[in-house]
Amino acid sequence: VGDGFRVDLLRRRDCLIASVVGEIDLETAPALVEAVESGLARGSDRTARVVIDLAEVEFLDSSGLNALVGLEKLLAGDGVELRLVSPADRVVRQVFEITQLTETLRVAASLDEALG
Amino acid sequence: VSPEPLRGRSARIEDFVGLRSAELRRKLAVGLALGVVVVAAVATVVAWKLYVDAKARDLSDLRGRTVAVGALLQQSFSGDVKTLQAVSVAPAVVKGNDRAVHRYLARAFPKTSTFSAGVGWIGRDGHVRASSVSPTPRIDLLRRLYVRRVLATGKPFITGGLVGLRRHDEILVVAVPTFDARKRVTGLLAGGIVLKARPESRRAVDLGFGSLEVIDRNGRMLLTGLGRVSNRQLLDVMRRRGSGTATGVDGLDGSGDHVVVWSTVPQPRWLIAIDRPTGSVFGAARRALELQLGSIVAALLILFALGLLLLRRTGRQSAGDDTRRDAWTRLTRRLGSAATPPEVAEVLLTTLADAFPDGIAVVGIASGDRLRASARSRTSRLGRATADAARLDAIVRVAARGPKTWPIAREPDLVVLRGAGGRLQALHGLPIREGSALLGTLALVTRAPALDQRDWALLESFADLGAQALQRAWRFAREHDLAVRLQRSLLPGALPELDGLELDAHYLAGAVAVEVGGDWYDAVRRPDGIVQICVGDVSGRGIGAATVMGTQRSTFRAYAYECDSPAAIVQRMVRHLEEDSQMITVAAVGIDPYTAELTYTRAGHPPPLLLDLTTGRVDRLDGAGAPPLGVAEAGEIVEERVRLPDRAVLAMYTDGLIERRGLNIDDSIDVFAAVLESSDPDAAELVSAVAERLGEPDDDVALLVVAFDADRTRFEVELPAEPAVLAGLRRRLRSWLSRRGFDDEEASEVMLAVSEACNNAVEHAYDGAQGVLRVSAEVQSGRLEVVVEDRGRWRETKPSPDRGRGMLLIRRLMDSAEFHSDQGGTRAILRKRVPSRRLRGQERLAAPARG
Repeated sequence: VGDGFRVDLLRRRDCLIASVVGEIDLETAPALVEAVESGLARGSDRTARVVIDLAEVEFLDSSGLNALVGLEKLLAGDGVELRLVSPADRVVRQVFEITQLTETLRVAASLDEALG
Repeated sequence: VSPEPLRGRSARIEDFVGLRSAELRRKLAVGLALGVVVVAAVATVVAWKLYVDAKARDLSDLRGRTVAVGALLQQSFSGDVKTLQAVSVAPAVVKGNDRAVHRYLARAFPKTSTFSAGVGWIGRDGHVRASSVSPTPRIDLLRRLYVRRVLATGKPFITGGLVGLRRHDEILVVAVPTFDARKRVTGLLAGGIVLKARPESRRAVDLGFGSLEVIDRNGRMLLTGLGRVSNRQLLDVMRRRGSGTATGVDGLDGSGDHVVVWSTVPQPRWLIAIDRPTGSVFGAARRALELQLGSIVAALLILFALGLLLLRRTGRQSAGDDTRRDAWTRLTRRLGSAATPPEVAEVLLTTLADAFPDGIAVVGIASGDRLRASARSRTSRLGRATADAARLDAIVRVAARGPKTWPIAREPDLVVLRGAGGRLQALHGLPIREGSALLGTLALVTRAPALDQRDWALLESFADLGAQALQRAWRFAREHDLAVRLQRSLLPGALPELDGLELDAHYLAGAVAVEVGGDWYDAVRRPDGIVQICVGDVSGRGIGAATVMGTQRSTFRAYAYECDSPAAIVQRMVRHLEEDSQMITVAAVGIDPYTAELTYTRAGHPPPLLLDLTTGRVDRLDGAGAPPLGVAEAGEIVEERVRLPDRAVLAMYTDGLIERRGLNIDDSIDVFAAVLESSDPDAAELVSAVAERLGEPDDDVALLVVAFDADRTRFEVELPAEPAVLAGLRRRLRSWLSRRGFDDEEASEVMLAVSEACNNAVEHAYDGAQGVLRVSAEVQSGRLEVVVEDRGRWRETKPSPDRGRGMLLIRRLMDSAEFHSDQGGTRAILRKRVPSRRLRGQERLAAPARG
């Protein structure tokens, strides 16, 4: 799936950390959702929080946003909190600003902050 | 004079070349030399014989003279003796009366008598008793030999030369005895002859013939002052043999190389000799010999000159043979390289004009139902005589009725030639035929009224060779035309056209070969904007090579759409190759005009050249090499990628362009690189420019040039409407935008908007069916316009927040966005000003004329 698109999963206590590298678009967005879902299913303990690290995301469009919003709703239903780590790329950050999703989705400046 | 054409058979070289003339000439020369030698020998022998005879005659003449002189002397002396004997019987003498004798003597022998020294009567005591001179000298002569001898023998005696006692003259004495009545010797009568005193006597004896000598018994020469013969040896010989001749001996005086002829006078046993230098004796004979030898030499010279003249004449004849043979040889050689009918006509014309330099050669070539005529002459004045279409037409039409000689003055159809200048007399013409078909005509217009039999034979052979060559040329022309058309049909009719990437190709069929070659090229512009190009060369020629080439070309075309990578395409070409196929060399290049990336692979093919128009640098794309197809395994085919300069020219070619016998390929490629760097990217012009530098190519040549100008490219891609294509699309669009004044971030914004528009098409337009997504972009008047199209149906869906976000992004990121929908599909037009800080540069590039 997608050139250079990668999701690394890391579990820290009750947190599932998904680090995304590459571009999130119509093709890769479902893969991100799948990766998080499989991470959740694999965990033996209960997951309280999912942190999606977008720092190394180079591209994100509405399909990516839709996936994140959908994921947030899905997780919220299970009582799991979704937090995002802000993208380093200015244009990618801009996507959140333009769509005003910073309100809906909790975007932290760094991974530490998201975990805190 | 009517010619005798060789009806019913082809002319042979023996017909116009007298093969025996050289041999004849040799024999003639040998005969001449032999004749000269024989005549010279005979004449010399005869002359020598005459010379020897003349010499013998001279000698016998001399001998005759000596004999004659001897006889004369003998007679003279016997007369003297008789005179004295007559006196001796006079009574006074018989009685011994001295005084009477004295008177008698004085009266009988005056001073003028023969006995110039006087006559005396000498007694037995040796005293002179009486004499013809007065007074009688009182001298005693008893000491004298002749006195004693006559007294002793009682016989007459003639002395040799003596010195007179009285006057000391040189004298000789004739003495006869006197008797008394009783026949007793009483004394002698002696008459002296002064030798010197009678100079005329010498003339009298030598008969006007010089060098006569009379030699007495004592070896004294009576005619030259009683000098003694110094050559005693010769004298001995002369005395021993009595008479004879001796040539080449020392003379009487001992001097060398004389001829001596002598005879003996029996009484008084003197030698009469002629002694002369050899030269003066045989002078006449020698002069005669010299005269004869001179005549012989003169005759030989004349003979020799005549012979030379004859040789020259036969030489001229054989020179004519040589000219004809040379003409024939030249014709066969030149015809060998004449490929087309006009070339054959030109060769016939040139060779004929050379062979008959003082005539006009005219050749007509059948073309349709008329004859196309041309004329040539080595004599320029004659050349003008036929510089007239009507005259040429008349000549070739008449010639077609031949073979024959037509007198121009009497042939009505040749009226136009009368007064044409050059005093033309006759037309010798014959048709060039193959069976019943008239291929052309051959004609010769001459000032001579007739043509030599051998020259006619030469004309016939020209017509024969011309017929063969013309037939071959027509067949060749047809086959070559067919081959070229077949080749063309196997090459692409048109090359793809797109902005900023212009392709031009040229195919040059090898001039010599009839068969179709195996070079090909092809280029495919894929819907996604990538251009795949291939140039290849199937070894060998003919239909086999063409078939392989056709297969390879369609394999390439098929996979060019499917595979992005040139190596992948060529690998498939390897797989489609039949077992034991011909070798194929191929170079394949894929160009993405939007990312300016060039990917190439080579299998046994010369390296494509890449010229950077900004720097003028030419790079050889000589990486990614593999063996030729037919040898290479699919796995060996690799590719390399290079960045395409913003303005560049790529040249791909087959080895026919640069391969020349004797030239190093590497150097030739450098020459081509130099030509490429300094010329327009026009394939045909490049091919001829290279041919100008390296010589005409031996083989077929295919050249394909690609001129790339990044600024002029218009982004235009058509992709399957699938999510998988989007990342690639964005990457390529970003690269294209980066050369249009957009920095990274600005490009990202545009891409985000375009991506949203594409998402609409991919997600909604086709409803799961396979569809097409078209994206095009261009910059005009400082504004970027991106059009995203699909051909699906626009479906009014209920507004969803998901969809709203995409539209929101588009509207926020672009200056404007329009959406048009109809039955044909949806079309989104997104516009954005090119960021102003780079606008000026962009505009200057776009419209340089505005300055």
